[in-house]
Amino acid sequence: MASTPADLKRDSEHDQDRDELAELRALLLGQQIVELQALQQRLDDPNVRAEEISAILGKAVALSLKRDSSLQRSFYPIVEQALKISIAKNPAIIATSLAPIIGEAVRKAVADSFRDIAETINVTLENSLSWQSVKWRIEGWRTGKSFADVVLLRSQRYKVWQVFLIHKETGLMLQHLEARGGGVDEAELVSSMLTAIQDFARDVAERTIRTSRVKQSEDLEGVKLGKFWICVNHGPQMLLAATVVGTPPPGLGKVFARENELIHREFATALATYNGDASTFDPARPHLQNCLLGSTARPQEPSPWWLVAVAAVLLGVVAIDMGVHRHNSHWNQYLARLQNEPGIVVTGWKNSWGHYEVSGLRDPFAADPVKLAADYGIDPARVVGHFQEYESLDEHFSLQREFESEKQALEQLRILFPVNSSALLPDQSLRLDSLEQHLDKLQQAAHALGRKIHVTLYGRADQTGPESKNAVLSKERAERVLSALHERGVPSELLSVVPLGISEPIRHGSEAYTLEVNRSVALKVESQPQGER
Amino acid sequence: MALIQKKICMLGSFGVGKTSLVARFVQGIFSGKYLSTVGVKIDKKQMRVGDQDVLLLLWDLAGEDSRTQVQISYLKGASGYFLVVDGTFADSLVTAKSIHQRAVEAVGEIPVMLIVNKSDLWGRWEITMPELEKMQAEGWTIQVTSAKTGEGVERMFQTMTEQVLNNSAPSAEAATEP
Repeated sequence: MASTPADLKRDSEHDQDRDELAELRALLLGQQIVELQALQQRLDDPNVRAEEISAILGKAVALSLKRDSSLQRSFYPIVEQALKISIAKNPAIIATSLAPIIGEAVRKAVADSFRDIAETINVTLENSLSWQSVKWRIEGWRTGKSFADVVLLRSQRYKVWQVFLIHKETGLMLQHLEARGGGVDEAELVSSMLTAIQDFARDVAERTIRTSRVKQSEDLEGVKLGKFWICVNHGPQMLLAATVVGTPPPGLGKVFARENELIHREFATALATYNGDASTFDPARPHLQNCLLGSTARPQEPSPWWLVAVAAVLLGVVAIDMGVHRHNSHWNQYLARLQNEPGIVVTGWKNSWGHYEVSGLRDPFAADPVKLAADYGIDPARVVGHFQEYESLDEHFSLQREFESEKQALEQLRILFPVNSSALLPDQSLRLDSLEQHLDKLQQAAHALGRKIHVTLYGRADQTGPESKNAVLSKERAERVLSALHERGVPSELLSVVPLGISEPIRHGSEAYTLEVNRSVALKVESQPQGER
Repeated sequence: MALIQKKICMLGSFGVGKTSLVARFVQGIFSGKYLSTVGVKIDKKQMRVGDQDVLLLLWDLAGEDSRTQVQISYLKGASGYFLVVDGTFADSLVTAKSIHQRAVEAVGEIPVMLIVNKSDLWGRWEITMPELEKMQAEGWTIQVTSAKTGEGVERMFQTMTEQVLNNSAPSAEAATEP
């Protein structure tokens, strides 16, 4: 296509415009253009980009893992595929890596099996050579069961009382079950302590092993305390611990191991995201239920002669009771009262020729058991009480305890002041916060107990300076604390102020510490039943 | 909301009042004998932050002195720990800092609070306010307490519970995201 002269002219003008624009752009945006070009190159060049990502990839993965498990889920098929390829290409690599782990596990499993076999042989030998075994053979012949079945049935002299599922790393309790139903008291504490003892045992073992040059320590698998066993099965992330009464049979450990494995398998996701919420493991309870095996009925079943003896003794006691102790109904009523009295637990008593002894536990806030005797016509002077102190769980007593403890805490707190001043120092203001908290709790406890309280603020000054000034200072200090408490929401009618000057110092003497303690405001709490004036 | 459990450790020199701090404010069933034999005693305390109930399992570790070191292995799995020092004994702060270093090496950065105990003996303090203020500026959470009067003790457990919950919050949120 031919160009006309007019076209050529237009082109040349256009080129000139473009050059000028480029020049202007270079002048105005020179640096930015260079940077933009560099950026463009970074985005376009895959080599540069790969290098840059490689520098931050580790951190990005760590951050993602911290946030959630989506990365693991995305990687899972890749890893699986990679493993397949690796095994197909050269199985020796994976086999060599796994050998030490598998070898150890196989050795352990074989050793456990041999131990089980040995124990079974022991039990069978013991039973087949005794009078017991003859009876069991007769029973087998009579009922049509095999001898082995009867042995298993009759030799279950054990019972699994409690099972704990424990998070291995934190020692926190995930679940627990008890054979008689209901919860185990303080099961969380027991679980944690069990883990601690476990760690302790391992530390001790490792120390011993280091000196005896054995390669590796094993986990604590059981503890025996008389008739009582604590069996522990170790999974990779959870412990299954059980308390067993009697002698655990050889197969019991296997049951624990199987259930623990099943729980591990079912709760793999819950374990990965475990944050202390044990309710996630509620569905594991049927597995724990499967561990509550055995029965102690047989060994504890009293034989008939024993029952007869007990019945005879009881009958004798009843006869003596009816004949000789008829006049003791007062004593019985008194005992019944004690047994029903909150905060008193009677564990023993003795009544011989008009002298009485009662022993047991008593909460310090409970009624005096000896004085109660007078209500039933028994002279308290003839009653000797042996009571050990204990803390009753009765709500009234725990409230009273809380009241006393808060009262004590309040009365021990002192707000200290600088020399010749009633200004509140910052650290004392912190102490006032704590004082206000105690006061609040004290009021709540008092309210629940049907009592009302009044708090007196005693202002003091140290022994230096003129007496008139000290009187003023002690008043100002007490009033300062009163207004500070008022600011924190304590009702004014609850408080009153008593300036003591230097009349009743907390400590006597002239050393710096004594003077400091005396430049203070202390509290005294009084309480009375609500409604009284 | 379901109750959640958290393991918290108490660390510090021998005799700074760790056990006393725990004793008045928690429920326990184990005797002090465990401390001298196994080296740890465990108690519990239930706290509430907002509408979340939290059960703190407090591992009171035997104190450190010139002959024995704190068994850091007991710290495994803890969500936070208290470093307890005695205000009237400057050396206890030095020990606490050394324990802290070993703890960080063992379990990484988890919530930690410096507890300066024995505020009832304020007049005899060897640890100075400027020193504590400097640590506070460096990012330490510090609480002054008295196991004797109870000052600051509730607050120390409350603050720790809040910190532990905040620390574990991000992953919990991510897990509940639609």
